[in-house]
Amino acid sequence: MSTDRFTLDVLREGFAAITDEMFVSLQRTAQSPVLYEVLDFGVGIADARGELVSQGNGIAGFLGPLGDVIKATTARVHGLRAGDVIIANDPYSGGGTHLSDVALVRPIFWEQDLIGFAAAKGHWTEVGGKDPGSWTADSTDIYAEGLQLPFVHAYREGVAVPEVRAILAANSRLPEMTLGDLSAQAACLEVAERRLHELCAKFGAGTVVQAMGVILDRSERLARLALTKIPHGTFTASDFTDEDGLGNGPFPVQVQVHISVTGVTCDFTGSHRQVPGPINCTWSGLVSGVRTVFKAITDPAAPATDGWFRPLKIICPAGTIFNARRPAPVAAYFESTEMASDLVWHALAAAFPERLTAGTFVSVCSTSLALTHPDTGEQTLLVEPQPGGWGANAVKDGEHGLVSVGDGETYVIPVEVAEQRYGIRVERFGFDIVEGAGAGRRRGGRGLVREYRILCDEALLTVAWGRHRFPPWGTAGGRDGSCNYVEVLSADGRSAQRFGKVSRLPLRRGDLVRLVTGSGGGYGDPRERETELILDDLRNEIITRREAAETYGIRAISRLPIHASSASCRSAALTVSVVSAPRRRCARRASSRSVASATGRNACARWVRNTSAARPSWGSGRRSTRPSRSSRRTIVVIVCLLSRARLAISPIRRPSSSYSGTRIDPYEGRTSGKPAAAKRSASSSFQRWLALASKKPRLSRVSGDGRRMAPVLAVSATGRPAPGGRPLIPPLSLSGHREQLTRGAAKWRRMLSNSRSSDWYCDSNSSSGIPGALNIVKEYALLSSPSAITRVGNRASWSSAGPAYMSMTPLAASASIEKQNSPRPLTTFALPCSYLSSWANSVAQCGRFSIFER
Amino acid sequence: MTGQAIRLAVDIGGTFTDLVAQDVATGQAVRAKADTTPGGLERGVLRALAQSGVPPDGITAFIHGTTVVINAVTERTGAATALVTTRGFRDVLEIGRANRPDLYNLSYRKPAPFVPRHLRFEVGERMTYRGEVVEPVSGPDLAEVAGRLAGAAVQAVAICFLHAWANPVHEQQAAAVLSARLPGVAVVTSHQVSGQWREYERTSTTVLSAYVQPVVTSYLGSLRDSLRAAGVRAPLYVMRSNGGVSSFERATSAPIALLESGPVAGVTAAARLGAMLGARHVLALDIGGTTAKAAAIRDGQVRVSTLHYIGKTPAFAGYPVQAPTVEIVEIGAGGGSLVWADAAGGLHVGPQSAGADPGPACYARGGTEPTLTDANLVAGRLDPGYFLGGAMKLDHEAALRALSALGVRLGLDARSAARGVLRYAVAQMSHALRLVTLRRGYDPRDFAFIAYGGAGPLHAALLARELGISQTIIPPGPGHFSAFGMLAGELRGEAVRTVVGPLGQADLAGGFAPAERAALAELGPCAQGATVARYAEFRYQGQEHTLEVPVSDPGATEELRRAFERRCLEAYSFRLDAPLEVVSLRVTATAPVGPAISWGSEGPGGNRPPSPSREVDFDAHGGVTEAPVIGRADLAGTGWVSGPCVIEEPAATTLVLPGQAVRRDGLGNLVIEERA
Repeated sequence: MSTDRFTLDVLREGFAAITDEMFVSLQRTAQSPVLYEVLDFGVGIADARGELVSQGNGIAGFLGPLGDVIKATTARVHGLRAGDVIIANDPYSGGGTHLSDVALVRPIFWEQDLIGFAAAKGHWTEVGGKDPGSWTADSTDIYAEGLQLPFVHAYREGVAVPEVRAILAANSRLPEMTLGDLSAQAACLEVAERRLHELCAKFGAGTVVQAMGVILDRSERLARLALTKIPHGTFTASDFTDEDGLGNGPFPVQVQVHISVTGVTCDFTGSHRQVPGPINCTWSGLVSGVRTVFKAITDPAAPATDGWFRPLKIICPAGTIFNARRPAPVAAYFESTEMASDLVWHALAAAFPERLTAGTFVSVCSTSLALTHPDTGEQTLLVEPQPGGWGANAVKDGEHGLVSVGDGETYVIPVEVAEQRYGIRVERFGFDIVEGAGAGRRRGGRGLVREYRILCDEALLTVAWGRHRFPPWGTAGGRDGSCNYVEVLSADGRSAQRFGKVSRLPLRRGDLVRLVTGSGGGYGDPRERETELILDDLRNEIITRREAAETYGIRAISRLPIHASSASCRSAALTVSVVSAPRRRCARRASSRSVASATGRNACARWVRNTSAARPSWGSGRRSTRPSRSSRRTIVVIVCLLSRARLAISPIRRPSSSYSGTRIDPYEGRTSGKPAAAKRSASSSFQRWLALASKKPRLSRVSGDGRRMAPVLAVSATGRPAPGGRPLIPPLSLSGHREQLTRGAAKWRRMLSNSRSSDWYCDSNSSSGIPGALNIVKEYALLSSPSAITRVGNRASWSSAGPAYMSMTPLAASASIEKQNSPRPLTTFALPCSYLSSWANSVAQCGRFSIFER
Repeated sequence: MTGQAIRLAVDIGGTFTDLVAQDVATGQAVRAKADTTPGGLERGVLRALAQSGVPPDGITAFIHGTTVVINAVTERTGAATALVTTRGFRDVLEIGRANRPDLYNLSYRKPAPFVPRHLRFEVGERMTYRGEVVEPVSGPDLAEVAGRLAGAAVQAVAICFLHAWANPVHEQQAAAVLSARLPGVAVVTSHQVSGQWREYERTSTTVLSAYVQPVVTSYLGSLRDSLRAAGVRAPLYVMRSNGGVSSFERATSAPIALLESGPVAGVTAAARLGAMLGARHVLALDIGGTTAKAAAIRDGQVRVSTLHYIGKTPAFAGYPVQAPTVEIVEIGAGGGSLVWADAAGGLHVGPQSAGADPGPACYARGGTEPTLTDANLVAGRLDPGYFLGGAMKLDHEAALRALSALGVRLGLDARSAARGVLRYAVAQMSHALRLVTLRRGYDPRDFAFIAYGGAGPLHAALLARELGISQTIIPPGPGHFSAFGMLAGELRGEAVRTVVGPLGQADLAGGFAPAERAALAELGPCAQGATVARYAEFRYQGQEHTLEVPVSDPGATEELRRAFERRCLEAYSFRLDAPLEVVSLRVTATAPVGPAISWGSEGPGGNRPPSPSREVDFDAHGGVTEAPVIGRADLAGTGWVSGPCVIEEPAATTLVLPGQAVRRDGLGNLVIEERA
């Protein structure tokens, strides 16, 4: 008996393998692009009561309906036999979402006994209804949305029911595709049955059934355990759903979330009653939305069984926007499902600063274009979701261009494939930069812009986008993101329309459809963002100069061109930024407020003001800005030198868990004559300090070949080392002192940690002989993205793809950088301000650098 | 070794540089091991060469497996790379496909791009999917980009324009301008590297190729120079992801094809061994320290996929590479995989691994967490006194302690826990084998099962019984099997072209011709006498996913259709009446590298196993039984030996279950068969 428990583990593995196989089988055989490209489907196997034991989902949105549809099948269909397949898409009873999501359920018998079910639910491109593609943005009741399939037999004992096929074909604009999806979905259930039978043959049906029960119970136990480890309390959020597709709205929605050891309750009471347009969702849609966030805060990685969700209770009165009653239109239900996720998420964001982020663009941004392929003359229908910006949180910047929370392993259609298949031209697919949107200590991710040029004579556009008027929310003092919108520019370029929802908008040859998704919300006060991250964003044109100045408080004080044109300066890889903020100036700036979102270029700026009043600031209360930061005398020097990146790369390969153990000089071995600037700045006090820090003077250390070791940042105008090694940028530091300082690490760290709250060490008169203010200088290999760690498989690796840079930051800031988002420094050392300023002057004389102040 | 026809393979790993050489005439083999020398890998190669005593002028083929490319990518130590794209599309690389595989992780991180945004440049130009020019390449744009690139001090530039798969002329023009303006900078165009559609995947491939190109060029260059200086005159080859080898020069022009240079060698070796044994289908399983890798070889053909992902997991999107790569399914269960119990009493194996340090608890290097190796030790399947031929003593007590601790959490004793762990691990590994067989519509019972890697022979018999496989083969020196795969490598050129159109209308013959030229060109001077195979990927119109069918006559439309339908039924139990569409064409050209190696060289015999028998827990297959222990070398000429028994050799232990029998065949393989 003792080993039986392992049979259960083996069976758990087996069930997961079955859903894996079902998933791949459906993906590969499906006819609807929405199934095989967007993976808008879910598959699962359940026990005889309809409780899901294992599921494979392409998107998060099927977390609710799959189990419900099986339970409803058992309740509504009697006399099920082996080989039967039930088809259902009724939104108002178990497991229904909208009519396009068609579920198939197959009971699985073993020797006359029902042992479980296999189910698959997927988005079919065509199920009839008033509009091509079957989902609409302006239906007024369910009857306009397509064919309803109320739990009827699609297969009887393994044989397709011809009447049902005939009805499906007759009601579909693309009958072959619809019947193809039916066959593909039914085939994947057959796979499940075959595999379950194999398990029964091997382990016995009793064991298989028992294993299902144990898996569900274990799953529940793990979820309850997770509940003991998360913050408890009552959290609320309210927001607005902007429009229903018929011009009504906005509609207030709200949630109260109660978390305790015994469970999580989400109460949507008080949300708006069901609305005339098709953005209502029904029970299963609501459940999906809430379960997604529940899973995120408990354990995103554990298998999603129905047992996991037993501690979750959802309350929502019938007849509301989140729990609509027949015959409310539901074609664009996913907008309310996403809003349900977002509401719960918003309520909990402050309590889960690492697992949840600030607000995202919260909309599937579903887009449908009915076209005629100009080359083949065929009717085509492009249906796709659009990715957008995600919010930032305490541990990371937001992601640019990611599919929405209700989607998941959802792929955007490649431009090349879209052009070949739909006969359309994509003119742009890239980040959309909205000044000030999503600003924060951690910045929200950017939304995307995708432009379609219509090449056929006539086309129809339907979109149902949420978050068109109310931008994604920021948290902990971060700014709100920006709104989603669609813009149509007529061929002659004269008229432009902008909207979030539209139905069957006629388009002509040459018209341009511009699909723009929003930026995610920011986290924390933008003024606290680390300088190197801001400059990095600037260089990558993720933020504009104006945004840097007005929102982040980092301003170019003079612009020194790198090349002839200032355009090339902006994205040139060679940037030396000298940031200096004299005390008096900063104090003055701190008193004057500048609001970034009022730049005018942010399409949603006016809504920023409107909604911040409308929304209770759950967890997003602005943190008071400490004036001390701006009154710091800070000199930050960032040297971004691509050519040095190569040199910085090899040291980073060596394993090192802390910088104190890394005594690697990226410039080691590069010798050159010591320029006059460095000599001048090597003040006697600095030498004294160095001598103290390392116990013996090292400045005169001589390298093996008899020349002085002088790490030199030598770069020519083309970025390559100048001929003859003549440095264009004088050396930043003095020979050998990095090693000394790391050796004296304990000493200077103690010294710096004693420097009270002040972030620079000023003790020129002390007996230690340490000169003026010191800055911590760190050398980094720069990341190519905000995330410091790249995960490849099971290993995390530090990126060093970009240029190396050095930063000199005050101690306080440096501590936070290390904790948060920065790459690991290659070396860390300290330099006096006097030295730095003379160095900066000589750099500036090279005439090719931007100097920023903060 | 003094022969005049020696094939020599060198595999550089993280800690050791392994060398295997074989005299083709006598079959005599030599192995050597030297420390890997980071910062100058060729020094380790030369050291291993010197150690082996192989005369450099006797070498007729030098074959190399390298991890330089995969390391440069995963450790991000490649060149500073810029990207030039069509206007409006510089962010394609960072957007990727916008997917979020970790569905419920709302703090998901996307893969960081290999080219930062400020080094991604746009150029005015446009092509249609039919290869017609909409807008010519803008000269002024190119000039400006060239100027900015010069200032950016990059070492490599990737160019990927939309629809370059249909018409590469714009990329060629841009490459010409940029190469002229940027001497010393590697310029890589997407049509050279991929030739397939889907702009993100192609851009990613091109960028990665550019990213590693300078590294690979300098690495292979210095290796060549030092080998030549050491007197090696043989042609130099390097193993590629597609399972074949190619000359250093060719490899340098498409370095991304070296990505999986190491792991595929074992699969190639299995295919080769299968052919020698006359097995039609071969199932290869390599169980190492941290993972188990499985691959199916059908009709002697290694399965090659045209899209491969680096680092893709269920929780991470990974980086796509459109380069022909031997398909290998990998799961995180190997000898060093950690065994753990979740809070609800569920048992799990891997994917975390104890690694080499501290290693399994029984290594007594400070590890306390139980691993699969510990479970095998506790179950008596490993001999603590004969690990690595006795070179390393295992700490039985430590293993027992680790498993007892696990058992406490599960409410079991250590032995029962070990049983459960092994049973679960076997289920997991059999899952990997099912993925490469059943999920593709193949029956594992039709396959000859070749198990290798350090832990392969230990689990092979159990897996064979689990899957109903009748014949299991343990090759000689299972731990070094991959290196033999390199020795057995043949030249292999491969070209893939996207050609979209309905079957019957699409110009297959016209599409195959350039692909064939490209594939043959990869073989260089050996192109004469090469074997050419053509494949086409078809799908039903309206579907996305394709199946590959071998093409003997591009004109035989009906025959192709029937072949596709057979494949479709086999793979998906599904067939449609829809018309077929061709999507891409693939041509492989193979040519042998000199004379073939012979099999049958045994590793050193090692000392005899200490005891003639020991108590082994066979779990459900016979319980705890006193099983005879036989040295592998002693098995020669004994004929069938019935199980249960344990075959020991220095680097591996083979378990034979009750009801099975084992013998040693003429090539030195152990053959295990069911005898019930």
